[in-house]
Amino acid sequence: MKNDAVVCSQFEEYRLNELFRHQQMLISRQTDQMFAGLMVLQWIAGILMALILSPRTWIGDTSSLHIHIWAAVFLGGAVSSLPIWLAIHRPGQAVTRHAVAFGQMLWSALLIHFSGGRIESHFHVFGSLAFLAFYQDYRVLVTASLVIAVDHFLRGVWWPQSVFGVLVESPFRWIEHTAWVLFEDCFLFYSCLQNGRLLRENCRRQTLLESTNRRIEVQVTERTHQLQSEKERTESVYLSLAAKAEQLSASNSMLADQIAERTRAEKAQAALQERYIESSRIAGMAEVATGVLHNVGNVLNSVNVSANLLIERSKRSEIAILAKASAVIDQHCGELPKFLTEDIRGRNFPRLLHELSKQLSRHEEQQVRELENLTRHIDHIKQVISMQQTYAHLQGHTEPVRISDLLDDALKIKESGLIRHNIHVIRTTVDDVTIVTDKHKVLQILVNLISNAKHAVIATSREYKEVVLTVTAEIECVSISVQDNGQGIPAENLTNIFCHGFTTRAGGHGFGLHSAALAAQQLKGSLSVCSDGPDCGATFTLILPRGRIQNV
Amino acid sequence: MRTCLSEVAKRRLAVVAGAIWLTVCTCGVAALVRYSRLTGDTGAALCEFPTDLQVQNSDKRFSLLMFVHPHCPCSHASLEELMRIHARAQQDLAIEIVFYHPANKSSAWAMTSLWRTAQAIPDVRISFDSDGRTAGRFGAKTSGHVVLYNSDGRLIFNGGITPSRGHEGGNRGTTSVLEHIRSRDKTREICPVFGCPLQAQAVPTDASICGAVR
Repeated sequence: MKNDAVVCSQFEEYRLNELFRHQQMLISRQTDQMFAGLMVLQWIAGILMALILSPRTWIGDTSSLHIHIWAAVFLGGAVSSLPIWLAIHRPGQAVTRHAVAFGQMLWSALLIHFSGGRIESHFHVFGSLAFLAFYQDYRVLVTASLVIAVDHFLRGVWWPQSVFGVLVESPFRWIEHTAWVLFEDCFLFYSCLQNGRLLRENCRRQTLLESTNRRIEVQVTERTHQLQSEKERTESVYLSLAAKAEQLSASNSMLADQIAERTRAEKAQAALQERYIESSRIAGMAEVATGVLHNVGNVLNSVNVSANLLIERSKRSEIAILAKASAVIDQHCGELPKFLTEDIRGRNFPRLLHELSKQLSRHEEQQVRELENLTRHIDHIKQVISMQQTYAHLQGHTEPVRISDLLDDALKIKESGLIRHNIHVIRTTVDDVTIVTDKHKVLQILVNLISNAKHAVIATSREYKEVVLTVTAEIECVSISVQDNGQGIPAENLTNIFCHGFTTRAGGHGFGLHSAALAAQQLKGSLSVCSDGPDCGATFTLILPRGRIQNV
Repeated sequence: MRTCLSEVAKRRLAVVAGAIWLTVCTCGVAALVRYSRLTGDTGAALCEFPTDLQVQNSDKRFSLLMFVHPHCPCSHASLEELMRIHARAQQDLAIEIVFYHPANKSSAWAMTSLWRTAQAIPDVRISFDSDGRTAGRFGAKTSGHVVLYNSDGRLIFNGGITPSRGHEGGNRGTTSVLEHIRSRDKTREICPVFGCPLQAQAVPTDASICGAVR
């Protein structure tokens, strides 16, 4: 910064000197031009003066051209020639100024001479000095004063009377005359110096002004460049924006078309979704119903077995023996004691009756037991049907539901299949959590997951088959995972497992997991799957929000 | 290289031209000054004022005669000096300006600006000198020649009253005339005369050599 200031100051000093020299040069040139004109005028004036005052010299009645005419023409021309030539060809140069000063002083001498030494004509000297001061160069005054001093000195030496009017004159009289010139010179010197200072001050101000202007110009240039670049950048941005706007417009129109198409597609999809949901619900219900029917069918098998057993036992009842014994007694009602005592068959009657009663008692116990089983199976059927009826009539209703109850119900629905295939169900419920949800959809999901797990473990040759149900409660949600050690899911199928129609199970229709995932979404939850690959089992995790418990 | 030489040559030429110019101008002015210092023929004036001549206002104690060529440009300065003398000593001085007039010329020939200037000087007698006879009688041969006689008719000043040819201003002649009038000094003073010759050929003169006597 300091170096910049120094450089700036040096530059300003250089510029100041340059301006000062330039101004001096201008002044000198202008003054040269004025003196060139003055030289011509003085030449003309000298000739006129000679023509008027001393045109001819006379001897008696004869005359000839006066020497002043020749002097005015030739000597005056010679005196004026060099200053005029220099003023034209070397304007502003020091040699011109000094030649002008020399010539002007010679013109003073000539005009004084032509005027006959009139006192008034001596004013030309002082006027010329003042005029020479226009150069604002005191050295020019020095030259002019020296010319006067030398002229007077030489005249005083050789022709004292021509200057001083007396033949015998003091040798220092020329000093007096020169002193008057110096008297004027003092003021003119002061004026020159003062004007020089003023000129330099003006140049300094102009330098400062130029410097300021230059700085402003630089700033303006920089700012202009910045604005130009900004403008160009803005224009390019504008152009790009315009292009993008056009693209955007085209994209908008395309997007509008796409949106319209998408809207139509969404409407169609929504309708389809509705149909899917309905189908899912129906499928779920069918799934549940299938399970119910399956369980009912199983129970009915037991009922059938029990009934058959009862029928078979009824067919093999000892009542016929009892009837035959009763007929024998009727035959021997007259001689009953004899028969009982003497006849061999009569004697076996008590043992027969004892055995028969024992048989009948045993049969009765078996029948009661079978009837109890039958009653239990029928109760089971009633419970299954009752549960089915319960889930079938409360779709879309949210209510507080205990997860453990849902798991119990789901397992009851799938119980027979699980038991039949010897699948171990392990429940690792951490907390007995109650959430507010649509329990039918959750049950549908759980039944589906348990069913899938059952199929997955059935598909393996693993002897120990298990399904682990885990409930984990979080602050905002509940996580229910169904883990099996079944056949597992290849990694490439994980992404498609919830897609509609995707299934790896023979006889599967690819609908259960898709509907389960949709149901989870409808419950504002999620359903995810993870598996380490084939034969590594799989874990389905259902995450459900706790929901707001209302009217619990 | 050629350019440098040319510049040097130009510079030398300029110096030579400047020197020539200085020389010409200086020599010209010197020649002009020298010309102005060329004195005319002072001649030998009459030592005694001729008794047959009557000067206007002869009751004055001094009589001054100036002989002037009416066309001499140098004599303007002489008249100017004469006017100064007149201004300072007119109560003691009877002045007559004698204008040369060729006999073959009309009087208008002599009525020049010099004559009109002389006419403007009060109490000065102006006369025409046909063919310069009076001038010749007094020994005046150059325009501007002044002779001064005291009341006794004795010549006390003879010569010019200008410092040089056509130049007015302080000079020994004017100073001498005024001192003679003021101090009544009877010593005779002779000063150079600067002006045009009154005649081409000298006329017969009665003047005797009357040099400076102190």
